[in-house]
Amino acid sequence: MMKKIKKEDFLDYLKNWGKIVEIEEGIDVKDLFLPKEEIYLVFHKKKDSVEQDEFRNIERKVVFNIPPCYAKSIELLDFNFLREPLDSFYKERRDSILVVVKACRNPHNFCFCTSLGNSPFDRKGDIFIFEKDGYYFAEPLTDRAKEVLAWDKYEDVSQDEFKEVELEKQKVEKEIEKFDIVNLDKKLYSVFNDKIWKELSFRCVNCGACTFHCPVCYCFDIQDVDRTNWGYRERVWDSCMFSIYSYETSGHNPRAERHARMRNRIMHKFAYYPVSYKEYQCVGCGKCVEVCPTGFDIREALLRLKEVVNE
Amino acid sequence: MNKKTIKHSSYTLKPAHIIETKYLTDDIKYFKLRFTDGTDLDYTPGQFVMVSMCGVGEVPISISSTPTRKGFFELVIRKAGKVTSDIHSLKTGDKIGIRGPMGRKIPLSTIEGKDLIFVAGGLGIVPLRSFIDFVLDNRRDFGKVEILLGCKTPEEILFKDEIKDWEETLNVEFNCTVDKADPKWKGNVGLITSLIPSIFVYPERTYAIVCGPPIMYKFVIKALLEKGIKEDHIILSLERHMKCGVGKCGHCQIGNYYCCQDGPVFFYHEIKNNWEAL
Repeated sequence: MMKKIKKEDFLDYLKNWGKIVEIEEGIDVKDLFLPKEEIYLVFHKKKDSVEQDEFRNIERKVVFNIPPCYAKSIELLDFNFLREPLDSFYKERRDSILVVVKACRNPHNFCFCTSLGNSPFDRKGDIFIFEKDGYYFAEPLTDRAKEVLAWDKYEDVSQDEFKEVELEKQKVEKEIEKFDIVNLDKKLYSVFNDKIWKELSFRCVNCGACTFHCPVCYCFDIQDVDRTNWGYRERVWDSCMFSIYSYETSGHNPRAERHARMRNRIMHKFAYYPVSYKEYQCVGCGKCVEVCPTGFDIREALLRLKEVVNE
Repeated sequence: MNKKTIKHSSYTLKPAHIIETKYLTDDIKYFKLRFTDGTDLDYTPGQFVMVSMCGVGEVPISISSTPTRKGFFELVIRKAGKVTSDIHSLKTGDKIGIRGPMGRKIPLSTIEGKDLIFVAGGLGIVPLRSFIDFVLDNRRDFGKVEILLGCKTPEEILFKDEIKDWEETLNVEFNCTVDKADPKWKGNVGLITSLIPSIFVYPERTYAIVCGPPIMYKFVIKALLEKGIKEDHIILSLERHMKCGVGKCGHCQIGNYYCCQDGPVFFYHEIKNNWEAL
């Protein structure tokens, strides 16, 4: 049930839980859970021997004010990182970050979350909040959120106030352009060898901006950095849009062509992920549309693909 | 306050000693390793390990020895890039970091009691040697064993001493072909697929285990299917760029599969509808 809590009180409770990181949206959300650079092994060379130490210092944080689509993206990352064998780096960060989601009331032109079955008022993350006149209407969604504060002490929002939230939800949902991509997942397999992929990838310059900004793209590379008598190993973001991504030392490259990489990106999001986990690997945040230097629009691409699969 | 330290098992390097090395050809070197703590690597034929050179990088290398022989494991590495060049410079007694074994443990019970055809192209013999030695160590559990090997030139044939043993063993059929012969070569000349039509198989009880360069699979599979071998009786080992080895980083993704976790050994029927796989 939604509780009505004074803004300052609520923020104090969050501060007690951990350091507050206020983010509206964007690349920084993914960075919290899957850092751009993450050193996980440091080694010291001493005459012929290599010593390694693994160190971790994890601080508790509260990510505050992100919209529901970004909270959903974290749930989608969980599928990959929390399945066996569990990724302990991700897990410890996931456990140490409390996600406070704010109802999204200012969708931008690129948003298409409703087309994927999501809503700008989805109850995602640990706590869902709706801001109103110096108060937060807050709803705890997970067990650890219930321990953040004594929820029982606060009164429920009144029926009128709740209605207001619902009305606002309907208003915002209407602002977002909606199109229909139902059942695209299975049908996409049938156009794997179609020429549509060459058409779609024609303008792509393989800069990888879409994948770096995508809150659900999780590919990373492992690189070694060598200093004179010490060095470290780190995980860094990588992108499947680069030809070197799948390039093997032997010279074999399964995705050497541009259209194969574009196909893999779209198929991974809209065909492979739904088949494995029953969810699209896309939250409809539209960030890839916003950042693409050549104006590639995934919404247009999906509509175009829908035409092709129905031919 | 609020801080904690965790051990990350899937990324921890386990040190191993090199107990023997030798060059098999100019650019291919053999390494015999033993973990410094004396434990055995718990693996199945077809699995691989990540070999780590701190400061340079990590590479996936298939295990060439059989788990039936304890106390050591063997890797055969071709000098190809930065990391493998550095590994080549290591000597007996040096230490190296190992992660693994990685990859799926294929159920060996499915091939028990069956006839086996091993099809190896070039360096593909390295991982297949693990299977072959496993079968030879449990010879009574398997039917007819046929080994087909294709190499570019006679100099590139690996494990020449062991091949001599296989040729002389009565319960193993061994056939070898080279793409380009030299004056001393007395055997077959031609591609690996030229060896397949002449072998005799009972399709229902024959399993084919194939490993070689990516280009080889399409033709070998076609030849095997023509022999009547069923799709779920063809076992392939695929090659992909790998980084984490635990199915997270995305590099080795083939459709719904991660080659490093769900493979690298696949049955043909699992990946035949996956256009990118072969």
